Amino acid sequence: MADQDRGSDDPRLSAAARHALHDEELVAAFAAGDVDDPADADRARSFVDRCGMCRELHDDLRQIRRAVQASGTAAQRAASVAAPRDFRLTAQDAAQLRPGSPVVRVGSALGWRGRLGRGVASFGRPLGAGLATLGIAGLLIGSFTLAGSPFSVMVGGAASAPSAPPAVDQTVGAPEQSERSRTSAPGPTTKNDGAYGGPSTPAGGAGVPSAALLIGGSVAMLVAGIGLVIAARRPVAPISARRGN
Amino acid sequence: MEDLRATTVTDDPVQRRDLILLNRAREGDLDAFNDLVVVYQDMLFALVVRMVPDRDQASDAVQEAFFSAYRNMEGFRGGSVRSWLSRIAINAAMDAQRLKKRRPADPYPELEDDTWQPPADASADPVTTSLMAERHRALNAAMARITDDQRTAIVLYDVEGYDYAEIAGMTSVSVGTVKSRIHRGRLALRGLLADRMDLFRG
Repeated sequence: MADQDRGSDDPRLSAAARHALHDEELVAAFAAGDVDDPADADRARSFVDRCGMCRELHDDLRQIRRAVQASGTAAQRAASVAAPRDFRLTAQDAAQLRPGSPVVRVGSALGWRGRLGRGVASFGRPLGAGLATLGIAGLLIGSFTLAGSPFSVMVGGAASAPSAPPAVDQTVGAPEQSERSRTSAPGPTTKNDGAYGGPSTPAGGAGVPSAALLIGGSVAMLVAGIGLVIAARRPVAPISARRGN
Repeated sequence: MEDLRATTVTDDPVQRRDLILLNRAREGDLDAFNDLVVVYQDMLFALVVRMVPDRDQASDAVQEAFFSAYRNMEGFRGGSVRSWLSRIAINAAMDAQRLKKRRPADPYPELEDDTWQPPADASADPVTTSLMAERHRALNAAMARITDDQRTAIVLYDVEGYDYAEIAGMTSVSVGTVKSRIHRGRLALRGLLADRMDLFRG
């Protein structure tokens, strides 16, 4: 009973119990001068003024902050403590990390033209993509002009183009055979003539060379565009997991 | 003719030197970039090792920072090359912290070989010098044991002098979170140093 009385009267114990109800983070913010709200600031001040443990906490936090601040900036420490290894990049690292495009590499090797090379590299990609798109579009239009469908160029059109002259020769050299083929029931040869020779022979006399030119030009643009995109690419190489120099 | 594109004319000879080296590096001069590495590698290591208190991991983070800087030289938009490199190194250090979180292992070892000591007053007696060294060791040990986020915020704010907004930007959190991390970090330090506070008082 006497012990209990002594315990309950112990001022330190009651202070600890009171302190347990106090907001330590608020005291920490107050010690750092970071309490903006006036009501919070008043509350924090009352903790520090009335609670010895809050006051001690407040003072300790300030001491710790001073010690941390005095522990030396990176620049100060660097003056006396060297890095444990040399971080310089090797030529291999550089090539892996920043290979650049062939245009840039050649341009850089030629000194001031490096800037020009970078410029080419920067617009080469969209230009290449544009050329490739135009090439594909031209190829499609040329195919339609030539055969009505791009598939017939690939399948039937391409196969029938070289066979057209012999068909004409047959007509000239063997009229009866030609006559028979025109009048006979539909077969592979007749079908072929109808598909190719029918529409294109009268009007396609001028259409075939222009369509062929269009296709040829489109293929060239497509190849040039893809080439430009590849040449202007700047791949990002993964960082090598280098350990130690 | 030097290409001073995207750089700011400055009277500071150190900054001018850095800008010249960086522009030469952008032209493809690896030696110029390596000159920058030599100038700043110790400083960046000292910065990163405070955030990642493991010398091997800190070294790797600094190496990654220089790799990143080399790869992204075109992204430099003027100002201080040193600040630019510091920010890249801070990002690399935070990446290293995240990597450690994904692969939890032992806590950071104490930097027992950290030979740097705060500069003592010339008139300081041996007892004071010894006390400062002991305080420094105790603080380093405690710093290695608080959370990565708290340590990063405290180092950047208290040691390196960045303001709350800058740290918030670098760490992609709100200013309030930065403050909270700093306050909680100091409380954690105080808890860890509870039986050593006599070194800090008075």
